[in-house]
Amino acid sequence: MSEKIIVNIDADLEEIIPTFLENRKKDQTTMESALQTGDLAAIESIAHKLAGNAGSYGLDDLGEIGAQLESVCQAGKKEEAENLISQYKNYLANLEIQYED
Amino acid sequence: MKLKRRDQKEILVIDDDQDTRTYLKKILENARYSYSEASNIEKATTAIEKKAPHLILLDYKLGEDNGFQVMSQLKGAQGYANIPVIMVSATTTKKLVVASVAKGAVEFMGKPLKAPVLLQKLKKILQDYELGSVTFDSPQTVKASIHGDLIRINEMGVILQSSVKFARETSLVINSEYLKKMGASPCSTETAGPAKVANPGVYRNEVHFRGMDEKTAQRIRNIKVT
Repeated sequence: MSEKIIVNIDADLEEIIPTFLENRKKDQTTMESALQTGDLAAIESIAHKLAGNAGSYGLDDLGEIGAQLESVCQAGKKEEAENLISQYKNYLANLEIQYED
Repeated sequence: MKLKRRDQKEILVIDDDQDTRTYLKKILENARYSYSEASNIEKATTAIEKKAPHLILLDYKLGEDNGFQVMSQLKGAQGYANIPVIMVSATTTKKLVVASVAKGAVEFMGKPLKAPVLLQKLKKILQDYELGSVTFDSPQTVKASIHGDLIRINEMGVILQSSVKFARETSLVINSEYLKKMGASPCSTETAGPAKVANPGVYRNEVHFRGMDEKTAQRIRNIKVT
């Protein structure tokens, strides 16, 4: 069993974090489908947005996965993209947020 | 105390990412800014025409389009050319940063945007773009500019001949060595009414002197501008 990933986030964002995470799960489904069809451009587009928004929400490591995923998709590296999507999935599955004032 | 809406600075966020817009709405409204948004160029154009913002946060990558197209439209449009734009992007290549500034952005910020840094930059840029100090060089040559807009004094008071739309509550602080020599302390003026279009692309606002004795005001009104 994977260890929990505990992240402290500003309580001001508590209201908008649930929707952000729901959207990431939708992206996960979309990326997994795109991986099966070899549509790296679709994954790259999602990864670019992730690289730009996750850090704002305090999820810097998730944003870093996004930046790497964008980069490997641009390079056409499907296996590495698959590995990063797996990391993404693992991150979301084990994420535990603690809100702090 | 909650600020009245007219006291709030309007920030327009142009970004095709819903989650970024949601985040920015949250932090900007928490910081007492008035927030508006657009997810593409067409909606951005509509939003700007509906109400010119005080500042635009513009994402470079807008689906198939990009922020430079918005910049070109703004810079080519009378009345909107002086709206400060901060270009933002998750792509932070030197080429993009340099090109953004060359296109007229006042700042480039890499994503992810973080509230403390962003709010600090917004505050500073908006202060810089306030209608600020005006220097009257001498009684004979009263010329000054605020961000490239010409200011004139005539018998009606101060006329701002500007490509920027001025709101009714706009205040203009006159901090002039010349006024000091005349015995007047730095004082402010306020607009007499909403900006009026004098001719295409030029807005004129007549303003009243405030905090100035009538004798000094009269002397200023009598200054001949060459």
